[in-house]
Amino acid sequence: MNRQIRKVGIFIVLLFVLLLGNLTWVQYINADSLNNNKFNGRLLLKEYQTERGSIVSADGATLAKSIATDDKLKYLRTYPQGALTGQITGYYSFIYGSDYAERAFNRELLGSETPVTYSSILQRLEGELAGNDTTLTIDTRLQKIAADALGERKGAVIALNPKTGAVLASYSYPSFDPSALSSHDAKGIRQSWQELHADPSKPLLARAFRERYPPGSTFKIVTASAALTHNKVKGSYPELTALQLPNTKRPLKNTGSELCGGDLTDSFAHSCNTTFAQMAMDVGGTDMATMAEAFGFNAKVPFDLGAARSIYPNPAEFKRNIPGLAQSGIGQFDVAATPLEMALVGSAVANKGVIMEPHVADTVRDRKGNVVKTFTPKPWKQPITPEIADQIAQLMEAVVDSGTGRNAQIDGIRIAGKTGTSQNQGEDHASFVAFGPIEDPQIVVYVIVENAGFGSREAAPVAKTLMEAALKPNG
Amino acid sequence: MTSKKRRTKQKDSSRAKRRTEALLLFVAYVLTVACHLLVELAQDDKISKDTYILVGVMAVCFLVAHIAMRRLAPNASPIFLPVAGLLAGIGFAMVSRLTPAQSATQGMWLIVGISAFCITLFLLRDYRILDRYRYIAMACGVVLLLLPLAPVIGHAVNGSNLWIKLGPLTFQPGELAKICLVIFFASYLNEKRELLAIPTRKLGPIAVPDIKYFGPLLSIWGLSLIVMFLEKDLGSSLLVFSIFLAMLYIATARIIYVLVGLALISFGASFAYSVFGHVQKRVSGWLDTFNPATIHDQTFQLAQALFAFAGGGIFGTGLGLGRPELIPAAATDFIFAAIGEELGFIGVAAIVLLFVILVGSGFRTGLRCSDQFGKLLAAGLAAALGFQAFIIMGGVTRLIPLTGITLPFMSYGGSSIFSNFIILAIFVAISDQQISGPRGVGLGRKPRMLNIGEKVAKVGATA
Repeated sequence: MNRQIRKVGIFIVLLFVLLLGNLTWVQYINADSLNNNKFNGRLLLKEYQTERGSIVSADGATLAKSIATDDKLKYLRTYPQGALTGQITGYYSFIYGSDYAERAFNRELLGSETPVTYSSILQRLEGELAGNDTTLTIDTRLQKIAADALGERKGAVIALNPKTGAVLASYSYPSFDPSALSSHDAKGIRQSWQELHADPSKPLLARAFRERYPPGSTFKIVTASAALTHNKVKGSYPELTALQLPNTKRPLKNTGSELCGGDLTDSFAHSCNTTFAQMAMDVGGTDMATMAEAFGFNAKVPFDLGAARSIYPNPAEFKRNIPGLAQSGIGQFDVAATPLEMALVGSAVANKGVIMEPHVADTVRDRKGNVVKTFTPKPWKQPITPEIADQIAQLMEAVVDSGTGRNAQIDGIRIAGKTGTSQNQGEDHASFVAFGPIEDPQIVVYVIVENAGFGSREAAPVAKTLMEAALKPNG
Repeated sequence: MTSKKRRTKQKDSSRAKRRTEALLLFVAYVLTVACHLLVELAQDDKISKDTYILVGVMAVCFLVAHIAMRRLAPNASPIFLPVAGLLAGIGFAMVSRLTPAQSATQGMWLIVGISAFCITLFLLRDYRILDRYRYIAMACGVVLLLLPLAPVIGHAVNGSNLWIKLGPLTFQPGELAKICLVIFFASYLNEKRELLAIPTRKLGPIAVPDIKYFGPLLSIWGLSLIVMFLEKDLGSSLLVFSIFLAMLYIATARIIYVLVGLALISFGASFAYSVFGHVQKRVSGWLDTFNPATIHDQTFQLAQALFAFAGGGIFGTGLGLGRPELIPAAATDFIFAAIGEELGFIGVAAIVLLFVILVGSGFRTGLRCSDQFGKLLAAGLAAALGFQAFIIMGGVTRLIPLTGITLPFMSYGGSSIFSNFIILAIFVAISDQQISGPRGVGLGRKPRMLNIGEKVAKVGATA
């Protein structure tokens, strides 16, 4: 009988081993996912008991701060900059959760990143451990200038440092004030949530990195890069008003049906659609797609606030649709890019062909000001060689010097730029990408104004204002 | 070896065992007191006078149980009492922390449980007398199991009929029924095991007894189906059947019984699944716990339990510092989740290991027991304890579908505490007699492991 008793005993011990395995899964391996489950009230209760860290801008302005209250949720979240940085800080709501920086840096703000030391254990035991302050790369002065320059026109402005990927300003209109969503008044929170969602102009949406637009002529940077890389640039392109495409009766026209052509520099400076449509067809769908993807299209952008994916069509589509390929060369057809992506395209040209990971996080500090964590710039992609980057920069300088981008000229500073006027269902979107100074680029700016018409007239001046403020702080 | 020598040697060995037990009990007592003080400090920042009284009463309880062991079962294994005492102590601290209002009641039940332990030990100087009450045990078991269905005293809680109500007192008779049934199974199977094991044909490599010997299996299956269908008590039904299956296998060594039994219970379970809404809910709540449609009512409890475990992580939040009160029924069926939150993986792993030690000692007692009835009884009770602990711990951690039964020694509730201390006393009674059989009963087989002293003495005696 003993043999059977041992077998049953071993069987039961195995059941307990299984139980320990399952406990390891629940309490260790899968614990993070359970802790962050949105139905888990524990986390929120705990979160509201600790003083959440502040969100601070690069120039020291407070973007979000917790203040002590008397009610059950011990701290109230306030946003001194309101709608100006609403789409950067995001909201922190006990009903609807959080978004943007409040969500992306939740662990840091709660202080869960603090390394375990003797003193931190003591602080934790005494319930004194507060969250960590998170400093962003955003400069509120530039942010304000960007917002003022855009004014009450739907659109987005994003500026970043091409050498580090640090986002200096990111604004889109309309924006929202996070205070109403982050209050402790459930009724008020629900009401403003519904209003924000009902608003057709989508104030909760950060257009600067979560909305896709047809990039239009700013995409010619990618087309030119592909042609230069694959040696598909012709000495000159015929001056045409429109290009006849195979299998369609609709010709591809130049802006205003003007005569446009010449060599690459002229065609780029005057944004000849006929030239770049031809160039895309010369390069071919596969190489165009490869180059677009090297610039970050069709990829998840490693942006800490979470960005939408930009799209370049699958080249297989072009086998039956050559006009589509031609259209894609001028940033139309199914090409769609976030303002962030187009700024990254500009930053590749500015930074010797290298795109740095875009980010807003800079440093995390504890209550005493000790640095807990620092963001180190990391390269993301290198779509073009430094030589080709130089060539494109010269093309872009000609745009500002003598081409469609003259509105962005700044006295004494060499600026590179490219205008865009993209067709869509309504009036054209006006856009502009620029960087400067060319010899030592400090800032890349991308501006898009929805349904405003020409990029040269509507978007370039916004970019100019912002770059002037950044590059001539005392001027 | 003369019988006189043997007796002196046994006296020495039992003294050593009781000393070990005293030491282990002291450790269990210190841990129990520490748990209570932590709970108290986490809540009030100070220790009240009641706590000093409580600490004193607990010391008396441990001491009384130990003295009972010395007097009534001096040769018994020193493992049972300290392990059960520690489990009960941690459970009690947790109940006090979760529902302070029930702390006194639970304390009373623990005293009742320890008294039941001592009385059982006193009455069971020779556990073999249980063999004589086979049919009484069967009748008691069946009646107790079905008692909640009786009119007037039957009492439903949370949709399951597992309670009886006598005046102000509610009782879950299923817990006691379990013991009676194990006694009956042990006695019945001990007598019929050879008959039940005779193979009349072969099914591939598996020996199959005559078809009529599947009768007992079918009867127990019928009993568990009644419990499953009429009392809507999945846990007890599953428990009774699996205990019987384990004991039948131990008695006959016929794997075919296990296979047929598993087929029968799967058939019963799938039938229950297709017929009863509450069984379907249990299963869907197990598979899809975080469904937004059910997480606020049907699967709320299980989801909260999992959040508690995850919130505790490896080290736990510390006693009294978590939020286990967010789990409904945390002090009864879900006490394991509450411990998981506050003591973390380390704490629950310790609890699981304590159960492994307790159940393992039960089986070991069975292995070392000299008569067949005792073997079956000890192994059956060990299986009962092991399965019950696994069913509820597996249920609250979402390893298996959740069925509401108590966690032995830890959950709040008198019936459970009372019954489990009786089981403990039976283990102790059997292990007490494995070396020193009562006069006239020789050792059926020499114990597998002799201690060094004994071995040396033996060598000396032969030389």
